[in-house]
Amino acid sequence: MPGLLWAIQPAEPAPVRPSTDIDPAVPLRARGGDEEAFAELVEFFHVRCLRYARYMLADEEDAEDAVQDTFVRVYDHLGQFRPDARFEPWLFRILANRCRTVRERRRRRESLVITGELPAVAADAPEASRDLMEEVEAELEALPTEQREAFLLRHVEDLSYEDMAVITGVRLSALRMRVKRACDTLRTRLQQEM
Amino acid sequence: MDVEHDELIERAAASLRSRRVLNPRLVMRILAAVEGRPRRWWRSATWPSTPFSLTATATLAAAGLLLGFITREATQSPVRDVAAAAQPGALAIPMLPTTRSPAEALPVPVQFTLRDVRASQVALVGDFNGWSQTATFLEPGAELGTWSLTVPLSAGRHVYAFVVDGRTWMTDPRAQKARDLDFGRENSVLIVQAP
Repeated sequence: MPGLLWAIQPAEPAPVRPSTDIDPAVPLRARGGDEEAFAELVEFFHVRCLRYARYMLADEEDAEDAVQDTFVRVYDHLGQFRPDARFEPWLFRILANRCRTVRERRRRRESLVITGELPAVAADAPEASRDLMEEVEAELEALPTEQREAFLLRHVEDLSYEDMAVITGVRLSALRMRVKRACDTLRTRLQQEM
Repeated sequence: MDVEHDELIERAAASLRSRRVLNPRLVMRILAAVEGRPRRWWRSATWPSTPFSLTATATLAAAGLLLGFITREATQSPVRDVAAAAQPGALAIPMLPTTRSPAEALPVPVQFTLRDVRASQVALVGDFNGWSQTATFLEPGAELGTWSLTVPLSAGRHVYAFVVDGRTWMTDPRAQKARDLDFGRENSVLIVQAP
């Protein structure tokens, strides 16, 4: 797939506002074996996937592994993608599951470690010197995993509750509650910080 | 106040969205990872693009009989099997022939049947035909609402479903279910015995 690699430039990244989905023909072309269409999917979605994975996993390396694993699974299972379905929630469902798997694996691994150094974030700069982004990220990370997942999908990835239900397998009412609780918690904590 | 859309939450979300996450190496890593993978069946399958006909099915069955691949279970009348298992609503019955052939590479004819009096078209989708809704259709039987098709499948585990009238995906209620958390849909599982 060298034809698409030319487009990958180390350019200044622009913030991604995920308000649009990809052309529905692209995943169908990839499903039909079009390598360039698959590369187009990777190009289109990898930034959002990586951002979501980083916020869910709070670890750059784990996040990149989860995203790579996600796209490899997509590649292997594109035949199961229904032509009448939307690709975006299908992709994020796989990604969300990969992130859960990584977190669970990490939790089991860490539970075996009785002693060890504190993670670097614990020795970060004093609270007063953190900017908004750092504050938000710290408070996001402090949320329960389910609330963090729901908040990210709804407010950062701009997904509908219907898509979120596909991704998480959770009912709409429960998702709304998770988002509400996440918002309440974030609002309270951020107001205290400010 | 809108609990989800107040200014502070919007600012927080915007801040999270603005994080730099571009990593050109990641895209190359992903493309390199899939490039080395073996070509999957859905990209190399030579599944017929037109529906199987009853003639083709009969030919396959006859060939199987001549070669001694099909045992007594596999040669039962499809209509009789559907009728025997008929229940209210739709019913699908995959028949799993046991074979006695040393020719392991040869596919095994497998019969799929469905009873659904409301269906006007029934497609068979599965990992053996790229989940195509337009490649493989069951044929209507003599009895109203009965559908059947015999397809040659390689030995091993296959995942499949029926699509009724191009809209309704349905599993086989009498087969094992396979639910992959990643893909979020239940399908049916079929184990074809190796010859």
